[in-house]
This record gives sequence, structure tokens and C-alpha cells, in this order.
Amino acid sequence: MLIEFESVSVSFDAKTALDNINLKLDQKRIGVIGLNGSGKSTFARLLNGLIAPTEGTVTVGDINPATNPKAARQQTGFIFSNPDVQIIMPTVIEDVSFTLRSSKLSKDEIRSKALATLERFGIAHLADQAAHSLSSGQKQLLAISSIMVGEPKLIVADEPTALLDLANARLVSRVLLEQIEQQVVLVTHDLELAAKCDIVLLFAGAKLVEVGEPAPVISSYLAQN
Amino acid sequence: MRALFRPGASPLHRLAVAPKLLILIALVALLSVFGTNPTAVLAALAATTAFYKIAFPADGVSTLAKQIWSLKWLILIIVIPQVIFGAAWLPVATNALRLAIAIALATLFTLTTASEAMQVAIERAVGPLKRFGIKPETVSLTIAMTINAIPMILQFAKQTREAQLARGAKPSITLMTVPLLVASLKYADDFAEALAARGVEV
Amino acid sequence: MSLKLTLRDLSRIAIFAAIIAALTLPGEIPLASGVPISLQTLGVMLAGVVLGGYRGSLAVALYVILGLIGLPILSGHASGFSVLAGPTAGFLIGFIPGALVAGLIAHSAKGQFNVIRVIVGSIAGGIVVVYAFGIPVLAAGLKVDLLTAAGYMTPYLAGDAIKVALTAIIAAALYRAYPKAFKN
Repeated sequence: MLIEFESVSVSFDAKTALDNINLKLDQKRIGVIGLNGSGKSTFARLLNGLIAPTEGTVTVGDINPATNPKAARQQTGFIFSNPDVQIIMPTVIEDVSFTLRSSKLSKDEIRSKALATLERFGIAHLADQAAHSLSSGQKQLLAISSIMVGEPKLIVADEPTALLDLANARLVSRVLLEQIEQQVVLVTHDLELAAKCDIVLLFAGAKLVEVGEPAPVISSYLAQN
Repeated sequence: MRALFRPGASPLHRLAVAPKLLILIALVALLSVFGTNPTAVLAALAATTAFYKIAFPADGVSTLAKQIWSLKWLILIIVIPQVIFGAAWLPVATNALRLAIAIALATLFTLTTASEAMQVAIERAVGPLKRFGIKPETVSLTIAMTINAIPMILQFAKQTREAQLARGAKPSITLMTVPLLVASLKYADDFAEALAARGVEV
Repeated sequence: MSLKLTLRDLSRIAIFAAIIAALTLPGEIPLASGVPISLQTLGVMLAGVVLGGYRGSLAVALYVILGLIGLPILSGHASGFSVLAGPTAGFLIGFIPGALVAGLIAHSAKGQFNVIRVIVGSIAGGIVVVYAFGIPVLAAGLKVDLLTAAGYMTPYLAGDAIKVALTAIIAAALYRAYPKAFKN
């Protein structure tokens, strides 16, 4: 899917969060790096309309997320760094089924689809557990399952491994980079992870300062800081 | 957290929420009308015992006894001042028993009705509010959010207490509550964003 | 003030209902008169003072409803509809208009945080309104006159006064730590 930014700027109150971004992306694995406050998260939130540009236009596929957030959210699954905030329903299976609440499937079809998705991400055995009792790695897999069951075209993950231990972080990044066939935008501080992407964007001070192959972009990030 | 509901297959368990609630309200109302008559209150006690027996054939009577025993302080505070001020013992005892029975009846409603069933009933009850722009799904979503948030908040409280102990602060209500509120309200705002990301609309 | 709620409003209402539940769970001191002292009232006052009257009272209503449908979150570990059949039902119901009044007064200085209004609001909403609902029901339930029922409440008055002070201290500190909490 083509992601297109045409002279996009975002400001909150008087602060500029993103300054005049122009971009065309259709790579399958898109890494986004930069310091905190550099504009990474704002960039990610523009893709599903959680934030609307103050100026310019964002287009994802053939949808403008600012004017059609409903379609944008159906097309784009979003994963946050804190797994606790994304769980809506009390049990694992209910949370995954919640995504399908407005589909035309029957209750049984929703359950079997949800179970199949949990199976795919290796947490089907937890289906009837209280979602809150899961480990943070399992919660993040639940968040991924809840999003994948809706068959989005694009996954945006905003520092999905930031709160996980090494083993869980590796597990979740493997799922995001290798197991998922959809296009993924991965905002991360983990440079090892960014290095595995097809293309990396580097943000600094609300500007997009570099785009390209992972290795050179990452080394200039390291050189700048 | 343990829910009060006790699973079972009795007719009381199977009765729909709305009629069960109406019967409860009717019984409590009857009880307060005839509540000064000792014979009527004794009859009500017998009926309540029978209801408990129907709901829990195995241990109905002891469940009821436990319910009434848990009201001992409440009953004492009603009885003691009145006896001190020289009221006759029969009306005082009748009144205390009436109160205990009313509470035991209402508890039976809770014991035999699953929270989910009540949630469905609430969703149905708020259906007419649609006209004012309140969707029943929104109400049940908010209820689910709250149930989920309680263990989260307790977790925040535990973390806050540990952090304060680690820094050598003596835990107090204010020291405890402020960080708890900050963490919870930030969580609420992040949560709202995650809801929007999953396509939830008000 | 619009009655329309945003997702963020709903989320805050749900979280605050959970906060009141959490404040009610630990550290209860059951006094002999059967109306337990807990931090429940503190939660109710804070809900109004922080979220404002409208959203605060919705948060309290949600808390009460969850207690009534059987979650063990009400004061004294009582819960379910039995509370409504008991003599303290009026206090529980009074919490809802109580938070409304507390919030309307505390938020009456447009956009400005004002500790005096927080105190006046907590007294008016958290004590006057709650007692106005609670005492008549207590009197009817115990079959005593209003004055006797009011007399039963005197030991609690000191506790509620402390909660007003706590509400003011906590709200002022919260305003410094996270001013966004008081904004829409």
C-alpha cells in the first residue's frame, strides 16, 4: 500500500510536532527511529487518524485518515507500547472477539475466528484467562491478535517492545517482522530491530532528516547523538 | 476479587433478571408494610428459608444463617440503643428480624444472578436511552472497562507504595493517592486513544 | 456544558469508578454503628472535584451500579441489591448527587483551580447532600426519628471532615502534578 505525505505539518498549541514532511513509501517493513519528542509518534498517529495534520495531506492506500478516520482505523491496526492500555475486554477471547463486534459473523464464527488467530500467535491456551493476568509479552501478543483478527492492511506499532524483557521483545519483534504478511510501520528505539527493516526514517526536531537503507540511516543517527 | 454470584441450576438461577428483581422489590415492600407484626415476620423468615433451600439444595439453610450472622453488628446497633431506652423487647426484635430478612432476600438475588446476566439486563434497560444519543453498547463497554481497570488501579497502588517505601517515605493517604490519580488518569487518556485506534465510536 | 461524552470522557469515567472501588477496598475501620468508615467518600468527593459535576456523578453512578450488580466493591464488603434493602441505602444513592454538587461548585471558577471552591464543594456535596439522602432512609430503616438517626451519624462527621481536608490537599497536589486532569 502506498503511504503518501504531502507537505504535512502538525502543531499542538504553539509547539511544532512535525514540520513539512514529504514522503512516499510502499516498502513492506518501514522502521522509524529518532529521539523522544522528535515526531516519531506523531508520524505514526497520522496514519490512522488519531492525529490530523495541521497542514498538508496524508494518504494511506486511497484513504485520507484525517477525513475518514473510521475507514483508516479499519485498514490500519495500531499497537501501543503499553500493553495494558489496549486491552478492552475482561478475557483474552473476548478482547479478540471485540474487534469483530460489528462484523456480520455469528457468535460461533467470531469465537472460532478469534481462537484461530490466538492459535496463530501461540496464545490459544490462554483464551479464557483474565486478560489482566497475562505477562506483558503475552499481553502484547494478545494486542497483536486482537488487531490481526480484523485483517488490517497496515500495522503501525509504536515502540511495541519498549516495556518488554529481552526474550519477550525478541518474540514480539519476530512476530511483527517475520510472521505478519501485512505492511508494518515500526516505531522503535531498538536499533537492532530497525536494522531488519526494508527502509528506515530518521526524525529529529520534528523534521524528517533521513530516509533510506537501514545501515547508513542508523549510523548517521548514532553519529548525531 | 471474588464475585458474590454462586452458580447453580435452581429455578431461582434460571429466572430472568427483570422478573426476579420485581419479585424482590414486591417482597421487600410487603415486608415493610407488615413488618411490625411478629407473626408476619416469622412467616417471612420461613419463606426466605424455603427460597434459600430452593436456590441451594445442598446448604441453603446454612447459607442463610451465614448471611444473617454477617449482619450481627447492624442488628446490635439497632437493638441496643432501643433496649437501653426501655423499648419493649418484642417490637425491637421484630424490627431487627424484618431488616435482616429484607437484606437476606436481596442477597439471594445477588447470589443467584450472574454479573453477565445483569449486564445484559442493564444493556436492555438502557435501550430506550438511544433516543438521547446514548448507545447501549457504550454503556456495557464502559462497564467492562471499569471491571478491567480495578485490578490495574490496585496494581498502580502497589507500585506506588513500593516506590515510596523504597525512597524511605512513610505511606500516607495523600502521598499514595496523588501518584495513583496521576497514573490512572494518564492511563485513562492513553486508553481512550487505544479505543479510538480500534475503531470504537461513542 | 455539553452532555455529549467523548471517548476520553468515557475512559475517565470508567477509571474513576475503578478508583473509587480501589479506595474502598483496603483499610476499612468498621465502627460499632455499622456504617463503616472507608475512603469511599473520599473517592466520591474526588470524582466530582476532579472530573467535574457531570462526569464525576456518572463515575459514581457507575461505581454504585457495579456494586449493586454484585461486584464486591462497596463499603463494608456489602454488595448487591442487599445494600438497597438495608438502612444505609440512602448514603449510597446520595453519593451520586453528592458528586454532582461537589463538582459543580469546585469547577464553578471557569478553568481556574480554586482550593476554596474545592473545600466548599466537598462539604456541600460530600457531606450535606449525602447526609440529606442518607439520614431519612436510615431513620425509616431503623424506625427511629430523624434526629436520632442524625445522632447516629455524629461519629462519622469527624471522619468526613478529614476527608474534605484530604480532598483539598490531594486535588491541589494533583493540579500541580497533572493539570490536564481537570481539563476536558
